[in-house]
Amino acid sequence: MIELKDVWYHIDKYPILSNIDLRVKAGEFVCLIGPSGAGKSTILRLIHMELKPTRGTVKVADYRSRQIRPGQIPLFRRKVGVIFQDFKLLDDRDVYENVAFALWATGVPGRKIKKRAFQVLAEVGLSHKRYAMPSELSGGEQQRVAIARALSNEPFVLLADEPTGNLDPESTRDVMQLLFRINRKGTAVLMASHKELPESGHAITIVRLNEGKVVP
Amino acid sequence: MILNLQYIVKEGFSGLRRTRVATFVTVSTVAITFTLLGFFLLLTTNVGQFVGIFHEKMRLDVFIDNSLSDSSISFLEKQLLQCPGVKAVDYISPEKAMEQFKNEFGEDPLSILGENPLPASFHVYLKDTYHSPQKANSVVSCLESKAGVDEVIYQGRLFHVLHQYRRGLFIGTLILCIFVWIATLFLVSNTLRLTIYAQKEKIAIMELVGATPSFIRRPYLIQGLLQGLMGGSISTVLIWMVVSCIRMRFPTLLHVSFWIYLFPPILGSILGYLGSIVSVRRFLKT
Repeated sequence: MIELKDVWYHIDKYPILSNIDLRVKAGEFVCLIGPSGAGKSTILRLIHMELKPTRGTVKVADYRSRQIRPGQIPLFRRKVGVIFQDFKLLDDRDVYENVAFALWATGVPGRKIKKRAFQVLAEVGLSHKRYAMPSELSGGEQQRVAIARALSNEPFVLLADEPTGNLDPESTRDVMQLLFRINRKGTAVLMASHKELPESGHAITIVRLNEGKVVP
Repeated sequence: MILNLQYIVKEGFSGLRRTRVATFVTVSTVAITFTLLGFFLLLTTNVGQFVGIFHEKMRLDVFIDNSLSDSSISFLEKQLLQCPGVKAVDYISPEKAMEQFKNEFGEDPLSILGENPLPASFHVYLKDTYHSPQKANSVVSCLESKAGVDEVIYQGRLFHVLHQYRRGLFIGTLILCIFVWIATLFLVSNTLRLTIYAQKEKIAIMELVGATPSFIRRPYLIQGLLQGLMGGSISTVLIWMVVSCIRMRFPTLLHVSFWIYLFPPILGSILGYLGSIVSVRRFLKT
């Protein structure tokens, strides 16, 4: 489903990624672990088609980084959910509107928006806070709103860039449990983390990175 | 589709709210420039009309020697007609002149003076192509050169002044038009730049979730259009108020075309939309 073959990425001739080979199968949970600057976020951005590799190919479902046209990228992104360490919520909109906004923006008909937004908010356990503003939520709750927004278009893969980086241990545990639950329902998860994951009992493929290379 | 439109219009209005100060400056400047342009247009069209009326009624009065015989007058009439630029010639006998005087002024000089003091004359009408001051002067020279002509009265100076004013006004209006174009485009584009900058994060999120570039751009285009429309509409109200005030004092002074009221909102919307296209192309890299 996701395949990176001999992928290189340079900035000003300086290699950020070198010779990356990575595969994520449908329904798999893969975690990229490495220190800051190891290239984890760059890999996620390549998969999200924000960047193009300077060498090699990134293939996501039927989309290939070399062939994808600018006009296809928005349609592609509707099928790839993404969350970040800093949540990236709209501060001037409440929880429901943050989720509904993603549906509006992707052209979902108005009558379906409410139903779908409530559904994903229930999935992340935030139905009771749907009219709260982001500033009224804890970090863990804000990340759950971001996850609900990422799930709203039913993606086949969820890219999570340091999703627990800003959270306390309890919220980290909650968010990880939520990601495992989403994964169990069939959505592949590709997560980047600079910390080792605690033992969870969930099947996780670990890929270690250092200085832009996959290390054993 | 309808709901998307609702979203776009709502976002367009909320963009206006988010950049209140910049929007206020843009809308008021657009309103002022359009009002100025409106007044210039009013002035140009009214002076143009006045000149037009003057053109239509324009004639030269050629006074002739009172001692000329009937046959000499007929001969002179033929000679006047031969001058280039002369369209028609009307002989006005002293008696006819007296009648016209009585009609115009309501007094009878005969009863005061005991004799008719008015000389015989010709009303000479010019061809349309001879209405410019230079050409009319050449006709005057030709008429004056004919034997039996005492004096040619031609209101050339007034005509010339009106012509110059008309041209000056036309050029002024044109310059103002260009200024309005540039000012509106610049202001709208600048305000939108602020809006886009203020909403950078929102735009980034829209891109992340898969909004198409056209979907992201549309609210900004609407916002530019709204700014132009608002400025233009305020300008229409201002023009209407000033015209109404003038008409209260001088009911027949102004000729006001319907378009004077319509053009500010229409042109304002178009320019606002164009300004937002410029801005969105420059500052929104989606």
